[in-house]
Amino acid sequence: MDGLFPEVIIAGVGNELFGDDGFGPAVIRALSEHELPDNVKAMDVGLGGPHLVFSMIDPEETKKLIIVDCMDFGGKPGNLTKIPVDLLPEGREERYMDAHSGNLLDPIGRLKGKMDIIILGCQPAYIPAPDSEEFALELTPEVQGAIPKTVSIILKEVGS
Amino acid sequence: MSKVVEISPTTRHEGHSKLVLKVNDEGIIERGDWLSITPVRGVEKLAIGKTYEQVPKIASRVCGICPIAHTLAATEAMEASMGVEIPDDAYLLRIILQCANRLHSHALHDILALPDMYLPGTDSKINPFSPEEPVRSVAKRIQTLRMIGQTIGEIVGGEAVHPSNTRVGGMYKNITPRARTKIYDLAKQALPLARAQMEFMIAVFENYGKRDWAEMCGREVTIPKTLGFHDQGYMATDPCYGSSSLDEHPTWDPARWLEVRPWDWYMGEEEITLEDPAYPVGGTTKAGGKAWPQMQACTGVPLYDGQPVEVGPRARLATYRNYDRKGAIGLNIAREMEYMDSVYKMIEAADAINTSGSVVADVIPQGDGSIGWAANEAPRGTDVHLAKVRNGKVEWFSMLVPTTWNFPTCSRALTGAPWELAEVIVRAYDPCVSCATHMIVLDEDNRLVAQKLLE
Repeated sequence: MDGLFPEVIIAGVGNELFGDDGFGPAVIRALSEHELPDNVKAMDVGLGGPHLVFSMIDPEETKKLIIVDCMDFGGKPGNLTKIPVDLLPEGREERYMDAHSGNLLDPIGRLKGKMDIIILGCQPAYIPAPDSEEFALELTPEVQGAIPKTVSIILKEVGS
Repeated sequence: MSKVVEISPTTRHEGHSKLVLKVNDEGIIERGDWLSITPVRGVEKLAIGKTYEQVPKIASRVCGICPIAHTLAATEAMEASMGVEIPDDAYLLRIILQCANRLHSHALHDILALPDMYLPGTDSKINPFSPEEPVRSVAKRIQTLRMIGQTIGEIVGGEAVHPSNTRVGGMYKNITPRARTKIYDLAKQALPLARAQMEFMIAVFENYGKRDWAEMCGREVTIPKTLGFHDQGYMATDPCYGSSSLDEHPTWDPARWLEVRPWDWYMGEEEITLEDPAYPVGGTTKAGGKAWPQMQACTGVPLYDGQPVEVGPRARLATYRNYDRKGAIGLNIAREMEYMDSVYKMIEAADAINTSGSVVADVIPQGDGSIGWAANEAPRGTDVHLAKVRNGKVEWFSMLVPTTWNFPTCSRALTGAPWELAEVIVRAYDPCVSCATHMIVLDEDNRLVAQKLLE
């Protein structure tokens, strides 16, 4: 990768302290065992994805963004889904909020149409409520089991 | 007759917080409370019983904006408790990581602050995502500075966001000579950009400071010349990096720290009596509801020498460089002034590193339960982590993060401002709220006295 901005970004979103919310970072770790093309960068963006990465992407240089996150879409735990960005509700260009309230929509809304955006979601089995004192440092077996397939989908997407 | 207005949630920062403002008939704040309403994360409780290697990784996940600062502070708190001295080359790598984080974070702050500001010479508010020039070039410069900071952080820290190369005892790996060259190249690329960005932002902030009014809620609101002034003190431990209890002359003193309950600090129950649906992002809270900051605040209130203090860029410049510019604009400008130092410091550290040197301590004691602390000068200010480690396991862990220090100070800085500009003051503190929420420690009288554990 010669340029500062990667052509393809794979962003693993989530917090490893909250059970299956750590799916995105776990996928990035699994990807590190594979050789990715030079124009591809895989990043564990934790829970600051919108601030840390998505607002930093230059559409003139980055052509594809793959977001990996856990997502409640009504499937069975460990099920995967691929959401085209057009299916997401519109972002709110004028409403720049914080990393929690703003969720992913606002930054994605700004990038939408300017690059190929793919969102890979995994149905979680267990995520402790954020206002509880419960923590879960491991993924559930169902979600752990979804990692190889996710890696395989990503490798196909990036042509590796 | 005072009225009470509530802005909840506040926006363009990390985490959940709100403002409860008691205002006079002219809408000027008589008393303001800025408080975290982020649910307690419980990280300090989670740390108990974990290994000294696990806890810095856990601490880094407490917030999405400053994982590097939390990793460094937590790692060094473990080292301080265990009595581990790290090699010089490991320290130099941490300096680079620190500066890379600061470069990235300050550039991010520019994005958060810019929508409050106006293009100098015009009455147009700046949308940093506008495709129109000159803002497009500024946004691109901000993106490039952030990417440079993040890339250097990745080279040294192992990962772009959550550094995996830091470890108790130093760093896992030194950098290669080739990686050092890459750091030089990137830092040199950053220098003219950082200077241009600093000059642009200072011009923008100065322009705001000279303006008579800002457009808010569809009307012109007078900008006072004392916007965000307070009479509290400053707390900083180093112009760049920090201090720890292992230092020969530590620059933070736990004996001067006291943490009190939000109950003792914030306003009691108040009825909301003023509302404005035209306030950005959905209006203020409707009148008739209740606000109860004492009960709703999710942080303790740390005091230093019995008073709230300001931490962050201005505190560092005031403590070490005789900087004396007050108010929200003074704080924003101080942040911009740190750009160049961040880049030069990275270059100096890269120069000094022996890339063949060992970066791990020869001996890593497993800890005898002694208390140790590390204060890291995170982008937003002093991030103090305290720990007790015994036989490799963490017995106690506490995080006194920058925004926790700044909440009460910033609250005082709200007095005298029109309520519509309260968020401009809050954003000057570059708030990062989530990590400010932490477990409280009660004594036998149910009063919070965390410092008691320092005996």
